[in-house]
Amino acid sequence: MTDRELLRLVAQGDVTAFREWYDRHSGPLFAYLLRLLRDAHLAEDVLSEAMLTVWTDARRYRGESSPRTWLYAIARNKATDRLRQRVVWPLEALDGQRVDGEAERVDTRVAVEEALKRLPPDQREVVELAFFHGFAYEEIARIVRCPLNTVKTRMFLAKQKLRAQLGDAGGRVGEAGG
Amino acid sequence: MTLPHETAELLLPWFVAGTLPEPERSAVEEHVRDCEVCRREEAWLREVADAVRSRPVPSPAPELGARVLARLAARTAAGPWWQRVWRVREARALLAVAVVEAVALAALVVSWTPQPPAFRTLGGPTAAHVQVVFRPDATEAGMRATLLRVGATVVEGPGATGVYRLRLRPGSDPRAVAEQLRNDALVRFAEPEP
Repeated sequence: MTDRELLRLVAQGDVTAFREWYDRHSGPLFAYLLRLLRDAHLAEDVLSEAMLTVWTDARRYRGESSPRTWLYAIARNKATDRLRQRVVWPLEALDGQRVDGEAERVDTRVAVEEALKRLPPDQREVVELAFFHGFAYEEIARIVRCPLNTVKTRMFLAKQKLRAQLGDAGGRVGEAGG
Repeated sequence: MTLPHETAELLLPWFVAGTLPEPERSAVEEHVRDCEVCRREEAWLREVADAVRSRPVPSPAPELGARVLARLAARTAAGPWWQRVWRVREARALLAVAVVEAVALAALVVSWTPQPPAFRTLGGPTAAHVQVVFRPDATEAGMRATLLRVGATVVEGPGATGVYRLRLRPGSDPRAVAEQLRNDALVRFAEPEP
């Protein structure tokens, strides 16, 4: 059953369909929220709220975007509300900072993970939505509510910083770049 | 379509991720074929993308799903009664069926004026009748099989409310046949005529 079919059943109050929707999307969405919020309990709270909003608002879904994009946009909106209460984005203070003793990393995944952590949150988010969650740039623009060109620019800047980070780290990924 | 290098560079991450729509995908592919810088960029991005994708995926607490469903139930229960009933699809379907059945039953009762038989065989046993309503999804073959099993023949119907009048074999017990019909999966309503 496709996401659209499932959402149609949820809109009709079908609890079984809602359970299927939750099982299908809760894992990846939790991963996204955890990266945004950096707090597992908070990520679970926002995940619950987003899922309950799907239950109450499924009838309002008009199909302008994919159901998954719609879900992520709802969740991100709620996560942003929570983050506003903290005044600054988590890890923002790490932007541009270097951490000593990491030059010896050889594992590509760990190197990339560490480099991602040092990106500004809005750039890291675009990289993760594109590569981890597989969203097209138009879908990302809907989720993060910004113009298409902003999404592309954030990715461009993220690439530059990742290359600088990974190149300095001396990992396999860094060596591949030109 | 010849794509400027700057444009291709901006789109390359989604080309690598496989989410670039046409015709942009073909244009980037064509550009990359002829651009050494972009080919190296593409190879590098593929490694980054693979590394991002291969990250362990954290999971929410296993009991979170049950908690969400419990909150959903509490939220559903908080509305007015008619909204709560209407909200659940199964309840709506049952309500619709109940309304149809009530209308059919009312029509049946109103139209239930036993008529004297046109003629009666002298000395022989009289044939009893049963009124029956089949389910909407009952097929002709299914109804025929049911009628053969209970030894009944359609003598009237279906009426506007879907009621058939069945004549039973002489000597059949109308109450027993009605009971037999009620237990049939294709039958929604069965009642012996008085």
